[in-house]
Amino acid sequence: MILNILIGIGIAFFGFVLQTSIAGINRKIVGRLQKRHGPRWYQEFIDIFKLLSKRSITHGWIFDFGVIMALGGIIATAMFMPLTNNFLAFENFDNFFIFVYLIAVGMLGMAMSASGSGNPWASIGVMRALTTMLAYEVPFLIVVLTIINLTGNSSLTEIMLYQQASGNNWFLIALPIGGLVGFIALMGMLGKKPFETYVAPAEIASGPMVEYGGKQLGMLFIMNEISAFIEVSLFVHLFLGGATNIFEFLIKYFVVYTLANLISSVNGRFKIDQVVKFFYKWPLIMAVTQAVIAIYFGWVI
Amino acid sequence: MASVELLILFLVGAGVIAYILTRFNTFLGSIFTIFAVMFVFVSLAGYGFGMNMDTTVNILPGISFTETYLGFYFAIIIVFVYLMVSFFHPYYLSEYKYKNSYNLLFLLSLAGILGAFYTDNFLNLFFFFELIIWTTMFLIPQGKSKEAAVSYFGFSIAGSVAMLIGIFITYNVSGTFSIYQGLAALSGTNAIFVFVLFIIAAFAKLGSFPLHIWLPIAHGNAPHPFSPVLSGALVKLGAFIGVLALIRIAPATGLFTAMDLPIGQYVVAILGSMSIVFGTLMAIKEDDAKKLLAYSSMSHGGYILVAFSILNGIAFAGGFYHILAHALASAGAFMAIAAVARATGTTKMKELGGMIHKMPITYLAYLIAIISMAGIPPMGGFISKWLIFQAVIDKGMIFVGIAVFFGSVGSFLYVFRPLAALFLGQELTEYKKVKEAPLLMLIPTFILMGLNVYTGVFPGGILKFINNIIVELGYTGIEVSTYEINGTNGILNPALIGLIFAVGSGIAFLIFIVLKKSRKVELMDTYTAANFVHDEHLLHYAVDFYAPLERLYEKQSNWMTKFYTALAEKVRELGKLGKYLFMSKNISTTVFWIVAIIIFLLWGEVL
Amino acid sequence: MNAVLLIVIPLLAAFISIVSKKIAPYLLLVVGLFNIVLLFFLENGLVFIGGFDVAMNSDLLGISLLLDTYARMALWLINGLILVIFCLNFKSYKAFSSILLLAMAGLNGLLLTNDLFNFFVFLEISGIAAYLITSANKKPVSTFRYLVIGAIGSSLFLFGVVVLYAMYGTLNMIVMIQAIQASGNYAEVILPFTLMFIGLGVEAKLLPFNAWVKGVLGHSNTLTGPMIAGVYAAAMSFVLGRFITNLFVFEGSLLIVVTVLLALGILAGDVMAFSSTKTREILLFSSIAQASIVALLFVNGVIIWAVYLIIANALSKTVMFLVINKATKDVGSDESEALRGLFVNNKLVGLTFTLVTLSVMGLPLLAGFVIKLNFLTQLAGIGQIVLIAIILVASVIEGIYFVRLIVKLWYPGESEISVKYNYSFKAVFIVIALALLVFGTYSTPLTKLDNTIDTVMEVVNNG
Repeated sequence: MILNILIGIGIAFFGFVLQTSIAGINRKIVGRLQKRHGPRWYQEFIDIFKLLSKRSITHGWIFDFGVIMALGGIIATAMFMPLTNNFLAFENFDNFFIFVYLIAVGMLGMAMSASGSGNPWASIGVMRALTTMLAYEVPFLIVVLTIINLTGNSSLTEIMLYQQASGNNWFLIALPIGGLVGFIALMGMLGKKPFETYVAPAEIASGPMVEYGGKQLGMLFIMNEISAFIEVSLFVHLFLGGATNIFEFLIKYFVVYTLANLISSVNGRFKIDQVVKFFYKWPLIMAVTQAVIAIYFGWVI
Repeated sequence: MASVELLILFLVGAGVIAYILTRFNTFLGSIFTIFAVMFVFVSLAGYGFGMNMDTTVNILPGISFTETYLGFYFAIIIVFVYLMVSFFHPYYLSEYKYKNSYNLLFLLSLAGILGAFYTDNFLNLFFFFELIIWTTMFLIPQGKSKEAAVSYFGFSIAGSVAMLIGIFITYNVSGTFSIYQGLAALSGTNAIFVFVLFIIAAFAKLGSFPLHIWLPIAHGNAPHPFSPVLSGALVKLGAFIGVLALIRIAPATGLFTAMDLPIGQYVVAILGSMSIVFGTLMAIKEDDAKKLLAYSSMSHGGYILVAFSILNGIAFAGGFYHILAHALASAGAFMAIAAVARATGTTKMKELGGMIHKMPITYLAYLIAIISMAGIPPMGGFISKWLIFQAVIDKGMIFVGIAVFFGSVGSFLYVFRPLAALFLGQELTEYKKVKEAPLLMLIPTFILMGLNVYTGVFPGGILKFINNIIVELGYTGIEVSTYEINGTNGILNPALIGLIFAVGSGIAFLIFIVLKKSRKVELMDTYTAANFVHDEHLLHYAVDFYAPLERLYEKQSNWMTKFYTALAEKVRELGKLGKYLFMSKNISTTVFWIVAIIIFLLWGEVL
Repeated sequence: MNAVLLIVIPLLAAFISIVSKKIAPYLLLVVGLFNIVLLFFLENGLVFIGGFDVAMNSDLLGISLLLDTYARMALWLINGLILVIFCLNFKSYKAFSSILLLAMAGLNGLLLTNDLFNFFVFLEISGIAAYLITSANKKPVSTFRYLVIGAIGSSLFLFGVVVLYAMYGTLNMIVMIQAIQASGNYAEVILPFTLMFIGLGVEAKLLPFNAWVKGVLGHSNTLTGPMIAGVYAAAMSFVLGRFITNLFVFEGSLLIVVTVLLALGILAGDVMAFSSTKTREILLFSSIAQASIVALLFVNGVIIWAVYLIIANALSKTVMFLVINKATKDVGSDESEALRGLFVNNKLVGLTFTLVTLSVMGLPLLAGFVIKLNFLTQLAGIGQIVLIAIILVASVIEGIYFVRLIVKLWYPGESEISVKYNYSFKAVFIVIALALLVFGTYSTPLTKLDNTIDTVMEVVNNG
């Protein structure tokens, strides 16, 4: 058990390093896209460690408690994440719903801490984050409902193995409409434009993070990176057939994240009510259509 | 052996004693009430789990009892909620207008609860239901609004009337009032009629769409210690009726082959889904913390209905577990709000802020309760939602799926609102002198916190008991070991999740603690874009929290209220029409009616 | 000892009381007590008056009285209630003692007589007494309206009797029942039965013949309210029950019309009460609904529970009208808003009123619940699910307006009102509320009697 836990912690740490690096690389890519040099690929690490080393302020115990709960929840979630179809910390326990709900503990912790700062901007940011979540989760979960219904299993490893089995396609291909919805939802989860309304630096003084500095902000950065790792990995495992070895995983991961980032960099930003309206229009209709086609008619490519 | 009959008689007697004691000293009477409820709870817990209750009846006329896992499960949960709430009585009762009768009615309604879940006779069931309704109906107007009692009573009585008609149809068909023989004898059209009537009853009691509008009115305006009882305990009566209708009657209504589900069940699931969606949307919009929680009860009632509509063991396990989880969570949340209301005198979120600094334990209780309510691990709500989701997914119920997922994510939104606006945010000046709740009130708070966590981490034992109920209902239970739950499409190890969460938090704490210590600053010392803001109220974001989202459905949100107001108005107009037609001051009207009737009767026969 | 004393003595006393006003009130007390005591000693059975024993065997005109358990219960209730109501109003309405004696004689006659023409005479006597009683309201127009409608009703009744006499040549009810059974031609009795039903319906407050009720009970006081809504309603329901059970043959279109009228009466009564804001109107409309339920039960042959329902209603309505009318008198308005907080300083009265109302609504622990459940069970036994549904739907509406009323009376509005109830009032309230509570929790004695309390059919069959 102790070994498993250590593996889990390793995965969480790996996820952090991986996502932070890829985020750094992506900053470079986006920089090139916008005809500038962009920072070095390890710039993100520097930012985080600088923040962690600084002395900062606190607004009371809930401010700190929330940060710990946020990071703790996210680390715990990442510990369950399988990297390939045979490498994971807790075999059989990589249930999809753990990721959806355990990640929420982290989110709740962050929201709590932000509201606890007493700054109304932070509360507004939290409000927007939660509203965005309400928007993207439902279409996404309907697609996942379809996938679980087809595979008959909610374990990520099993879903991977199902896609890898001969005769079956990746769900991105088998359920093309659903795959598209999944990707749009992923953009929402990652807070990429046009769904980055809750951070929206120019509008609401950088959203939930407005009061943070020093180690609290650093920890929230770590949390943010790990949650991005969880979200992208989920997409890889659910739609791209997962991975049989670590390199496959890295490639798929890199492609997905970079694609999301590229799309993001050429988009504007929705207003918060537009986000909700958007997700409850096309993605939801598409998700339901896909579900009806796949479950009731059995038309799966 | 504890006898059900004696327990009921004990409660009636204790009610009278409590009345007398409360008359002399409110505190004393309330303490007595706590012990009375505790006695009942202990006897029930001591003998009930092993099905060792004595169900013979020697004194009460015309009443018979039997022992079922189903009834016991409901009874023990509700008695537990009553016990928890009774700890609040000493601090609240003195403000009430008719405080003497409060404990009496409270204990009488508990007697009704015991009877309702132990009886095997429909007429007794109806008797106890009505008893519960009228005793509790007199408790509600002691709170804020006097009219709340009318709407509570109206919907409850409509529900029990629907049930009674169903009972009489059953009696007419089977010739017996026995619950189990009667329901078993139903078939064909009669079964459908009874099913519909029982479902109406279940919806009315559970406060499900479209019979929900009493729920926020009653919960929001009831006395503070009574709201948890309403939400955590009494609406569960509806779930009980729902179980009878959906599982015991289960009429043959044609099958949806795609989902392998009878149409009747599917319709209930869809209505349950609408409850989830409506409840969630209304809760997001609500400003009164208690009404918000009431709408959340409505949404959770929807989950329970969805669960019992899906006819398999795993869904039932989810439904039963949800009843427990929601009872604990909503009792916890309502009691936390009650504690705040006692200290501040309001439950309106826009008038509150920063309570965490003065009432940290109450805050923690609320936090843990809402984590469970939102279905986030490691609390009980997660287990039940996980089971329900599995059942929904396996059946491929897409539209129900939209609702259950929407409700689940939406619950993050609404439970967070009291957290942010009421407990967190700026510490408002008017509440600087507020104190944490007294020790006696913290006892149930701690117990509920513990149980919310326990149900989320070690559900094995409880699920094993629930398996007994499922087997009793004629389905196969789910596979449970000490730590693991085997669902149809996955395995869950709640204890592991709890452990890993602890590990994660430990790591985060380590990171936090080894880094440099932060400097404490005041709450007002925040980023304000260089504006000088001097008043806490101006820096507190509490009004219309989800304004952009609320605006999207603002117009539609009061449709149901309008509908029922219009309905009452129509009945009133009908009455006026009746008075105009029959109660005229003009004698010729009467003569007209007499002549009309005679002519009508004799037409074609004599004339 | 003869049952005829129950009629004769009050009548005699009424005449004497006109001569000596002073002893009149005491005479009423004595006579009332005498009647109640006398009922213990009388034996069940037919009583022939004036040597007309042969009336049964030949078609001779003759007067006979029938005393059975049904009539005995009714008589106890009526005489007892008149006595109690008069005692409570002893000071304020002394002058009415002669009239009450007359009412007693008339009502006792109605319940006992076995002769249709005699019945009509008693109907008129009790009617005249009722008109006089309602004059205490000091609303002469309403009383006059009551008088006219009552006169129409009794003329219709008489007309029906005349038609029956022309057809069968007898006025003796038992002989007539035998004759109708023998002829078996129910089509031709539709006309007389309809007329008689309407005639009785006027007095029994059945919709739509009850337009007088609003004027009379809507302005009632502590004497007229309980007398009309309690005593007269009960007596007329008993009488109607007797006729419906034994004489009337409701078949075909007549049955449909009667059932529809009664069902409509239940719903309309409760809906009208729902739309009222005046407390007295709420009570009177609710009693219209209750009267219709009682008649409906008799139509469906549920005798014993209908009888209990009549008794419970008479007692409950007596308490309710006493409470409300006293308050109305002291406050000067019967709007439910104006009576807000009536029970704040009258907790005991409030408690009894609440219990009584709960009994009327049919909620558990009170007699009303036992009665409701039992008559519904009997209705279910004969498959009348639709009627059950109608009664229950109406009971939802009833529940709502009564709860609204109770809550209003318990919780004060802006201004405090003070109403004082005498000890005698309180004693009556407590006794009635306790009785309802006792029979609600211990219902075994109620089940000792059954539908055979009405023995007319027995007499008919056995001669």
